[in-house]
Amino acid sequence: MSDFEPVVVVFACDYCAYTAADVAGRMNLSYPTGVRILRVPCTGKVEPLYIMQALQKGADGVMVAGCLVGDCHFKNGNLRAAARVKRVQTMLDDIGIGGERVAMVNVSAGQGAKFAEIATEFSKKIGEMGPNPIKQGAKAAA
Amino acid sequence: MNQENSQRTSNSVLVLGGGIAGIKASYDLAEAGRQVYLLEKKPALGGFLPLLDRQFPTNDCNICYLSPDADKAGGARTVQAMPLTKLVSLEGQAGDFNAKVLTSPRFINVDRCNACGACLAACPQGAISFTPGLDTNSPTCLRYPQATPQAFAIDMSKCDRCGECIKVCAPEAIDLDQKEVEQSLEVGSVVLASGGELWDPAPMEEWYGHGRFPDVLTSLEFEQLMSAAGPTGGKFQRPSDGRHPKRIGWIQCAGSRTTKEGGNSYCSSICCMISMKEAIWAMEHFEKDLEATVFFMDMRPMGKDYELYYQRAKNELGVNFVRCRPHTVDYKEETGDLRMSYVDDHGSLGEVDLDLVVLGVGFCAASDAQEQAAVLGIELGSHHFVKADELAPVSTTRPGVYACGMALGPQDIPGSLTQASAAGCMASADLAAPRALRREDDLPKEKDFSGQDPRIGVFFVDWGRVVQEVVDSKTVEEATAKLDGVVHVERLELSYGQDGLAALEKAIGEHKINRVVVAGYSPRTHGRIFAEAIRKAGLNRAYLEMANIREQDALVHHDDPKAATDKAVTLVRTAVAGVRQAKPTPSLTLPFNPDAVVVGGGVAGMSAALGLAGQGGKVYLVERSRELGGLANQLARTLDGRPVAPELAELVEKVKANPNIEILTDTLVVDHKGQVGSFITGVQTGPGMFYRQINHGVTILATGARRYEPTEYLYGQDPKVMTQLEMEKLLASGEGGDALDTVVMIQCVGSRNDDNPTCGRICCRSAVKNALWIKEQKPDAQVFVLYRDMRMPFTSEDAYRQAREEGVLFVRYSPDAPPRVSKDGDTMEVIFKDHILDRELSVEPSALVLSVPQIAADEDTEELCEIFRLQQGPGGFLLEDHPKVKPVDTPAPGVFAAGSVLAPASLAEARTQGLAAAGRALTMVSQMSLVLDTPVAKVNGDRCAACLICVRTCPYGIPYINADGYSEIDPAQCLGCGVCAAECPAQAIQLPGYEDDRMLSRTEALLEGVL
Repeated sequence: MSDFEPVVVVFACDYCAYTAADVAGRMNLSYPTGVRILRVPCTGKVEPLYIMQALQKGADGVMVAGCLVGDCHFKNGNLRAAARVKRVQTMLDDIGIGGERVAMVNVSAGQGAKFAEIATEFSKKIGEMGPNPIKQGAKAAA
Repeated sequence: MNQENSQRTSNSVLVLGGGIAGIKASYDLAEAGRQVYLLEKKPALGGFLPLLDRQFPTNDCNICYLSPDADKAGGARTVQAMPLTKLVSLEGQAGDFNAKVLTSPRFINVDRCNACGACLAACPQGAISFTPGLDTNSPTCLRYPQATPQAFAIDMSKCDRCGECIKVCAPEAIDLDQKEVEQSLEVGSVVLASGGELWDPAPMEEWYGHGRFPDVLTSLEFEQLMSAAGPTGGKFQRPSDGRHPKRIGWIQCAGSRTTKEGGNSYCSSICCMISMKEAIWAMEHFEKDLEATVFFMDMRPMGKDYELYYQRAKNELGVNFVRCRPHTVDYKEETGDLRMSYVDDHGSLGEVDLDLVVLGVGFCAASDAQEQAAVLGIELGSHHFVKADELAPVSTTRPGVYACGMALGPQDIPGSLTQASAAGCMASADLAAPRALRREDDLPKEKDFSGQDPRIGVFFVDWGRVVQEVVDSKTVEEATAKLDGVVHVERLELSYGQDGLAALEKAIGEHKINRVVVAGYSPRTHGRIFAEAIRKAGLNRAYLEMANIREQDALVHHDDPKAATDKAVTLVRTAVAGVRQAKPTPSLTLPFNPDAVVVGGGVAGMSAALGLAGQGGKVYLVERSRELGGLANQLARTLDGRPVAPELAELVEKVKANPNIEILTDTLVVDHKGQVGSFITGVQTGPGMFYRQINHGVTILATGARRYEPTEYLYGQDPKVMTQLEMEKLLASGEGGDALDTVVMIQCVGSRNDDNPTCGRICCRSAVKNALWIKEQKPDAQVFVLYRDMRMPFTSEDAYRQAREEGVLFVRYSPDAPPRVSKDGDTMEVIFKDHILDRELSVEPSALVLSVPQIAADEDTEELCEIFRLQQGPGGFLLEDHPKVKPVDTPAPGVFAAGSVLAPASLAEARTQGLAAAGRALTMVSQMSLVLDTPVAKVNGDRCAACLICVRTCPYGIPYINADGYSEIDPAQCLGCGVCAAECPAQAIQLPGYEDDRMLSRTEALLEGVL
């Protein structure tokens, strides 16, 4: 499993995490290439369905990246997102995919270094967990 | 500002100098509806910026970040760029000037020239010049010299009319008989932005060897050596023998901070940052094992958070720093090495062998500064820079003439841009009331594509070296062309001014494109610009999707080009999948309220209020305390040593007397809602906490900082221990007496440490100011200043020298061995180590003065950020939109910031930023209406069960159940967060751009091939 490079989908809030990812770029930092970012207006827009679809389509992990607690541009969208992530985690544990494949993280717009660090850490963790079991199912079916 | 009796009928401004400061002032004014004549002596605009390969602290090339601004509002149409033109005379007065300008012939007809370069090759005398620069009429950037069609010119002093160039010029563009043209322009005010010049090391050839040894370069020459368009084509080779340099030394203060003949006595302020940037860039991009060493006297990273950049260079990136006084550079024939000798911190001689030496040279006033000052009728200050005061930092001695950028002194880009916006604001006040603009009226009608299949155009914009050296563009282009719905793929090289975007508009028309993907920039920085560009081509702004190839691919995956290329393909595919399903968003036109709220009544806030008053609507100046003036109330003298109180009182009086300003003291901002053009801010006033709401269109935040309350060095435990501000008070009272006998000052108390890694920026200058004042009151006083780096930018270096001459002793301490203070009864003892003597000294001070920084008013700033939905940066200060190019804008449209809420600021900086924020706000206030086309949530009534979940979920309480029994959302109020859409159990609510099926398509495209 040493050459397994996980694919991580990040739903990143435009006001903080998406900007932090831009800042990470401008600071010439790096994180694994498997980290792929989708922009959302607020993590409050991230529906459980989006997370499930990402896993269904083969992502090994999903991060929902919103503003720091108390700093949501839309007051509390990030808290709603956190609650949804928790629900999704329970479901994933129930069906044997593992709730830990999904995480809610919080970074502010200026925290480019923190974004890179979180993305790297999460990717590493997913790497240790191994590929999304759905992939094997899909391969077996094919 | 404007004179009482002036006519104020003109709507035009003359801007002298086409560097970045002049360009910024011009575009701010144009955006605010003003006519601008932008004069540049050289054949092309640009100044220094296009000569730089990279800019700190982002180490990016910011031309591309600045340039599209020029196009954004279509304001560019009211800027008339006049290259090869100079001012000959200026008559009249503020509000009503007559300017005579003279345009030299270019001898090349720019309308015909296609920049083939044949003339350049054919000319035997070398009379054809190619000036790397920016031309608002053409895309131009040094790194893309091939895209500089209109920057060729003929130097007649070298031409002998042999006619060779005429023979080879296919489009017949050469006209050797062109004559100079004089014109007379009526303008209301003038902005001087004529820049400075790089110091020429020739007079110090003896020391530095520049000119004698080919491997001794100036910082600018080194910059070109690293540039893809430079003399080596981007190969990292030293000039003498092409050897790949492994050891490079940067010599700081080359020609600066010296009283030697041919040098400058002042500090050029920005060279430390330039050298660090070059060292980091060279290490990261050319030679990982590079031995990069900066030889310096004091490191002076002076701008906001620049100290963090220095710490990163030193502690994380492995740049070596050697504190010393470099003196001679020699060449060793046998090895081909350069040998640099220096005197180190302990006074011993040192030597080092290097492959390449880079001189961190400073900047001087323009060589024609005196001539130009005479034409303008303004006075120059020291060193031939324009004379300005702490509290009138962008004004010259002639009313109606303002200055910005390096004309005022050496300056970094954010400083230049801030001054440019400030000068623009002042210049605008001398003009007639601005004409209201109606932008949407000038745009073509939106085309209707309903029922048509997607025809997607994908544009690879500005894939300069940053992207190209990581991502293989050919692979990405080929993969893109195969995607479903893509009908056109094109590279657009740089979009300075109109042309880059004009090419986009043209392609849309030619290929009948109905959806656009821009691959390159982040939607955060460039989304708006490209949305406007496609709108100009008749497409709804929603028919755009951006693939962020720079920040989220090339820049973060520079060590893995293969994977970065694959990821670029993926990101473009995702954007194409998303845009395929795009639907037009109807735009909504709302009236724009020209009133403004300024929060904070200090120098920055008052300056902003005065800048805006009379140029738009009414200004509400909200101050939490009972008095205006802020931190400046506690200052006795300015950094240049003049009394603060009279000038501050004058400023306060002006604010109080202005009929367009309503002052609300004792008032707190408690809530804020709405969007640019129609904000509603709630305030509470007085002990009764009387609540009222203010309707306004723009907001300026200038709530300031607070002073660090020291816990170190027995502060608060002994009356002898005080802060610089308390010493200043003592000096102002004239009752210092014996306390001034032996004064020890300790610098960097509460800054540049683990708790607060940033630099206080102005504490060194305050210390020198007070040290000189002590010497003035008591010439035999003994004054010690214990410091880490003396950070004395520009002419404050002269004050530092004066203090040393007057006997103030400056002793450096290391952070590992800070001074120790102890107390025994009434006797206090300070023990510190003298590096030159290499032994400990002990002093019994009559006063111990601590230099403490302004720090972020953390809780207040946090609350402010919460109310205005903004972010705090490192150190807790307010985070600006972009540290380099948008220094007084915030990420929230219509909200600007100024003064020490952004970073510790001097009076001059607070005043400049206040005016700059007002200048930026004026670009919006001039609009008569605001067009809203950001996506807002839409309810499908047929699916709605009126379950009230959206009503309860919306953070702003906007949805309601209408008379037809289903949920309705007011598009003028909705901010588009999408929370209701996410929660709606019937999926009756969708947020355009993020519809469920569209998100799924993006997810599928993003993960294609993974399963």
